[in-house]
Amino acid sequence: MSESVQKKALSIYTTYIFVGLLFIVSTLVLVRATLDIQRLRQSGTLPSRHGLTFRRPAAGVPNPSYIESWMTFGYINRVFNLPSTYLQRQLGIVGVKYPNVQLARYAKDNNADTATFVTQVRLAVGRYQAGALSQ
Amino acid sequence: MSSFFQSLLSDLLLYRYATLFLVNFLSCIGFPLPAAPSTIAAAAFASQGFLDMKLVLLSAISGNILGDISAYWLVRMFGPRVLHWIGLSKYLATPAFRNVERTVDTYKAPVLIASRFQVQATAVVNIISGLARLNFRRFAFYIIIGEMLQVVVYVVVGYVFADSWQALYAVVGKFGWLIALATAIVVTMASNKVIKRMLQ
Repeated sequence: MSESVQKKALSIYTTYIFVGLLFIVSTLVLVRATLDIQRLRQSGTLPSRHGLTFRRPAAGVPNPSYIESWMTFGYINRVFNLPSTYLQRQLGIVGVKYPNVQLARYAKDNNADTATFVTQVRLAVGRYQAGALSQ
Repeated sequence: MSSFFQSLLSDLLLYRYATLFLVNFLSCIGFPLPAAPSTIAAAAFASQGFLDMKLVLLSAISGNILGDISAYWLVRMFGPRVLHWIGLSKYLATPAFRNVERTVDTYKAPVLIASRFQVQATAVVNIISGLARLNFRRFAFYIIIGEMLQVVVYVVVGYVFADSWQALYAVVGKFGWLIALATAIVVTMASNKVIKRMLQ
């Protein structure tokens, strides 16, 4: 076999083997994800009526120290399972943008110190969690 | 975490899939945006129930693929002219550039697919592919596979490490390089050995 033909064959085989390996890897990832979803559905964490949401079960009670200034009120409500108006009432938040506004932006617009405001939000969430746990 | 990435995360929470699409699209064209950390963060938000995982996958994959294709065609159509205007067209005829072209052409699959895992490598390979006028169908075929794999890998990382994804942000740049490098080395070594044996 001449050298150029060998080189061409090498290139073609390299391509096919590489693509094949990647397909195997991606198939394994998909199989693993499918099994994960099935397990979540069987355990009742992922009700089938809600479709394929991939929402993971909460690994215990989330810690309010997770809250940071770039987060929005909507995101915090979702992650900490808060009633949608809880933070609004607790912190006296006014404005039509709520809950789609980040903490840092809200603090800045209201001439408040961002770090202090974030601490207030953390404390409010902590109070809600303490109340929910005591009930 | 940089203040830029923090504002990007806020945008991700506010404008959701549009932000994810734009970040991935622009990073493929060459803007130095944190596409991989954004995808990991979006997957983490989806695992917390804030975003929809299907739409995260769709917006990240479509943003990447459309960005790659746009970059390829922009460079293919206007690249030589732009290089001529800025006085760099002579470099297209240098032996060094021809070598780079030949390498990309010979190892299309490993180069195109592995480069998808690192944002700077993606932009550079897109530019070289456009300048070298690589066959578009082959380019599109490999980048679609590469981008799907890349997004799936980062989404799985974000999903698995949802509770501690912020810690991952610090290492994700090196992580991308490592994946690309390890994939390229392992595949090249393995395939060369197998093929040499087959040809003997």
